[in-house]
Amino acid sequence: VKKLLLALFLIAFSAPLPAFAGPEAEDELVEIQAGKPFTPRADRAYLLLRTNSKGISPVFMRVPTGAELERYDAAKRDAFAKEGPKLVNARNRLLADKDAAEKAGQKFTKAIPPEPSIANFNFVYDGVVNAQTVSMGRAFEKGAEQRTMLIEAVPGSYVVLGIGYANIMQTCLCLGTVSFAAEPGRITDLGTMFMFAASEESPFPELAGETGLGASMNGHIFLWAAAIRPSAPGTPVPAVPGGMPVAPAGYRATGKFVVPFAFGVNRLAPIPGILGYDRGDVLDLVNHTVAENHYE
Amino acid sequence: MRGLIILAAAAALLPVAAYAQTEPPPLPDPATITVPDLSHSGDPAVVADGWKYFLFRREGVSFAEAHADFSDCYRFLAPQSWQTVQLGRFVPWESRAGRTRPTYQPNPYGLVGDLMLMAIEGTLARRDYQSKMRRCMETRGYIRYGVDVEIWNHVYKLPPAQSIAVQAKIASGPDFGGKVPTK
Repeated sequence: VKKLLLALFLIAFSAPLPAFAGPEAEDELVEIQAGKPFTPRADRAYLLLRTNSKGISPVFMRVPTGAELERYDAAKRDAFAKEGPKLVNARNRLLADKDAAEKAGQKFTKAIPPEPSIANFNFVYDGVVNAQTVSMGRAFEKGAEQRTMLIEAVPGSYVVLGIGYANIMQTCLCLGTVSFAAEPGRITDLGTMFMFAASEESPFPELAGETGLGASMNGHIFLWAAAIRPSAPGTPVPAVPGGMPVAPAGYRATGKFVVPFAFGVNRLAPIPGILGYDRGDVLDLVNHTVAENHYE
Repeated sequence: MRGLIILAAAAALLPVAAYAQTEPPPLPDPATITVPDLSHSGDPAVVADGWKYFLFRREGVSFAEAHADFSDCYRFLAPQSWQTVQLGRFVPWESRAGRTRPTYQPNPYGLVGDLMLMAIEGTLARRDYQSKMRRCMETRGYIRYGVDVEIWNHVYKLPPAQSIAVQAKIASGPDFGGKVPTK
């Protein structure tokens, strides 16, 4: 019965979910659809991406600016000043209960949280939303086997953080991925991104070593494997109104990182000359170094 | 009612929550670590069920290297639910990720979906754990070997530092059991 329930659930949650009503921050990634009015903005970057996916999407994270981090840190300090005393009181009550239970020879099973601090404060911040999926339904071009996305984005440095759907993070690329810069007033060509269930055999050569791993790869949801084939001379580029210049993404390897909001963890498939692996290390093949990890 | 069901489902995850590890534990003396009896791990039934219950081993790895590998992979094991995986959040990147507003997202499949989720949450949590460990450890050259379900449960439920130590000793120890079929 459990197997049946599990199968039903995997199927059910592969179906579209209602979009998450997130905080009222600016939508930083806007899909441009062919045939709809479009005027390029000089203060925006544009990302061009071809993909086999008709549903799941890469999760792009824009690296926050120094000013954004300062505002975040200030907001966090203010919130901790308000909430910290309550957390301390709650912890003290637990410690008192534990002490009383032990004196009475009773077992105390509740977890005692660490002493509240600004470092471990579980802070809610909705001033900026810098990690998002895009909707493959709003493609710039729709082909039988491929979709082409044109995405208006806040300029900055981006990390291909994972794979998601409808702003649900399904698989993080926490074990190694790439980052790239998106400059204003130009199209950054991200090449072609392949996404496929890690449990199944993929037809894409870039995913040969990352797929066909069996059903135990899947938990709450499918574990997704992902690969990027960078844009090369001759890669078709769609005609985009406005005549913006197009340049291939300057991908760089990004080391391991931890995010507390993904069902599964994986790595982006190796990219010749850009991203490699040596056991647990992520290799920056551009600079011939081990890529820096982004642990706390 | 639905909130209670979700809380119950979340509570079922709590033992696993202890596995979320941010700082690697100190390297213990392997002589002080007792590993379970793995002598029955080669039984055909154990091997066949090994895709569900397995431990890792790598030929030639030292205890210290295995300990470092398990410690690193334990960083990624924070258990998740449909409430925690929502985006629409600020990610500081260079520091701890900001938690999204803890809004309950209703299960689109209603109360029946909630009940189904509760019934299988333990299985899903185990499968998430196994999937993460597979991607993190197999890409470092470790191979899965099936073990009896009781042994797996014992190792899985140990406090993180102990579990890491036991698994590192097994991974760097003598061959045992049979390789798990791809599944």
